Amino acid sequence: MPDPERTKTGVPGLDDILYGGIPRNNLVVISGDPGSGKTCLCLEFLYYGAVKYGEAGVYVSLEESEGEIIGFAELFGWDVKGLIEQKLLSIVTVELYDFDKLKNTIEDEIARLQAKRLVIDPGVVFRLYFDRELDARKRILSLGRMLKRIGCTAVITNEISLEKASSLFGLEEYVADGVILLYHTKLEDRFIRSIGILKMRGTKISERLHPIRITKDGIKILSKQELFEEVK
Amino acid sequence: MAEIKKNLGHQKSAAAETGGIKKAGQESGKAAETTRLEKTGQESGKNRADEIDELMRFLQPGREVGLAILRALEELPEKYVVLMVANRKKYPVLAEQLIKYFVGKKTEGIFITTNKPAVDLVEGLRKEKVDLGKVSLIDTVSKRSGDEEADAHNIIYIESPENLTELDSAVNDCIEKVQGKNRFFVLDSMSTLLVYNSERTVEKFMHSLSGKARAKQFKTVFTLASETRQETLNILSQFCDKVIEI
Repeated sequence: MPDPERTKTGVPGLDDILYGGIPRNNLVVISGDPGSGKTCLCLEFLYYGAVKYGEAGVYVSLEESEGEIIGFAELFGWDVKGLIEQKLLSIVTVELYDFDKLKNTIEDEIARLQAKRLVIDPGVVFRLYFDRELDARKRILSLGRMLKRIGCTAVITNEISLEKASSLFGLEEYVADGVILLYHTKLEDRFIRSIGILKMRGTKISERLHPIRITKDGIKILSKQELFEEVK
Repeated sequence: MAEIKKNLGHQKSAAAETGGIKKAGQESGKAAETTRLEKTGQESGKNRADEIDELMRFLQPGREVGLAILRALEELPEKYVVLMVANRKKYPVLAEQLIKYFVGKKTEGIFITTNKPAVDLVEGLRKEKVDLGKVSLIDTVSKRSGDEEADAHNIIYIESPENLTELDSAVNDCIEKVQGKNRFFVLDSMSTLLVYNSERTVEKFMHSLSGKARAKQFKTVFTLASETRQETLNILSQFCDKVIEI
């Protein structure tokens, strides 16, 4: 298999377990337990994309305000405001539950910044846009196809512990090129964080679960570290 | 040490009327046969020396364990992985004696303590003028028990003995730092890890560590309490070159 062109995430350790990064223009679903670090990982993907690789990114927040996201990023010392001023980052918050408007906004914002990276967080909010599951399925799959068409490496987050949202309306199975799982597992008297790549089209991946640390600088994946705890 | 011997001398004078020493005194009273006297005097001296040694062993159980460690490890080839099994009487001094042995051999290395806080080990050994400058200590006790944490460059604190991934990560960091040719690695003890983790997890952990220690050519000792289940001991011993009973 020829090595594909890749989008390096810049997240310490993540590119190692992806054998160099996410294949360019892949659509990836990051599914994780609450508190597993999904938002942190997504922001880090956009932040390092801009800072290390000069690639602009769009963050579509379906839940939190721009101020909340900037405040969260500042906890890790990431100057998101500066990146917004340099047009290397855009935070889009959509309040109206109008799916077509959301799609148009995303397309426009990517074109305006000539963005190479996109994050939609949290994807589980999509369910609020639709009354019927079948509609949700059709429209979300069409969003996935659009994202693949517009030439961006896109990440959509999903909760894995909410029973009905274990699949994001079939996105993971039918459209997504990759699925990354983030676990925040309760052991006897503590929690442990870990990451695994369920699938990633076009590249070799690590088959193991890897421990995660959330440090003052952001998420760090201990790619060479064996995980001894049993994560079920 | 000199003070202990001096005190023991007093004790022995006081005790001279009893036991073996009294017997030796009675015999020396028979002055008729010079040769016999000389012989008795020698025996008496020998008995006294033996008794002092015995008393010192009693007063300093660490010394006995230290000698046993010396005897056992000196017989081994240059690089090894051993499981050192000690009973509950000897266990309390095993950690200090192992450190003293390796420091005395001018080796540098890694010592994981799961029972005694690193600060206590350092303080105790400092009094005996044991220099721990070339020993990286990994302490899994202090954080959990809320004990004092020294701000020392050679001590790494781990939250708990059950955080094996974190412990392994700390070992990896230390292995990179220990550069000398003559290196040691001690994990004291597997028994504590078995209290906090499943047997299977501890076996997996020990297998991983012994593999790393072998690859990096460390002199490696895993300690274990002799009260451990035989089945567990059998499995853990598979990862070692030898089981040494202290």
